Amino acid sequence: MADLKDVKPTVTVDARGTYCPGPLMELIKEMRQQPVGSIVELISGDAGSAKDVPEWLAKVHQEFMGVIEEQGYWRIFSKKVKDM
Amino acid sequence: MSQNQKLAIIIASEEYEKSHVASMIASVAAVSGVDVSIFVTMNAVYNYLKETVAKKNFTGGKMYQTIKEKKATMFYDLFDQAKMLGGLKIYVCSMVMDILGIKKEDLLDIVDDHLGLAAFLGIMEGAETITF
Repeated sequence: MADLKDVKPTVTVDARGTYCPGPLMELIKEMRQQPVGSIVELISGDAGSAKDVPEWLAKVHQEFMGVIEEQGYWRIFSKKVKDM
Repeated sequence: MSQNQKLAIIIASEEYEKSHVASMIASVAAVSGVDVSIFVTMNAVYNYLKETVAKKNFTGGKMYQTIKEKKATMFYDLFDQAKMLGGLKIYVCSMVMDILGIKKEDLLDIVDDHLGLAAFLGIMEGAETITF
């Protein structure tokens, strides 16, 4: 697998400052709008997001690419693989 | 097409925190392809009145105070957002409306309808149910 740090997201959603389930909802809004094949990077300050997002992606059959933990926030990469 | 999973949530308490956690669970369920139905009854109905929301006249504890201070998204906005993104319906108990003299227009716009128990029991059939 290619290094996540080299991944160029189609769009980045900065959801820092929102509380659970805010970041997940922001990601969903963005993923609905983007075309299939897009990579969405979600930036979240909520520790739960790193666990919530992959769970949700599995449930709706979209692709979880991985997560990078930064200082006090998380960068979570998702790929839209089918219409939703 | 396979039938969606169903979740029914009954909110009877006036405690702000209970509506808040219900709105969080409902949001995540609704965006995960679950059909969510909310039944608001007893003292909880006060939290779904336009007047209560306008005056922020909620009954709540420490968490409510902190949610307000930190300007976290309030339960009614979480419900509103969930309704835009997934299958979520909110019903208010018609008996409570009758007793308190509440009209449909007194209720928040996120409320879809008022229902009697027989109708809500029909909706609950085969649904996982949580009560607050």
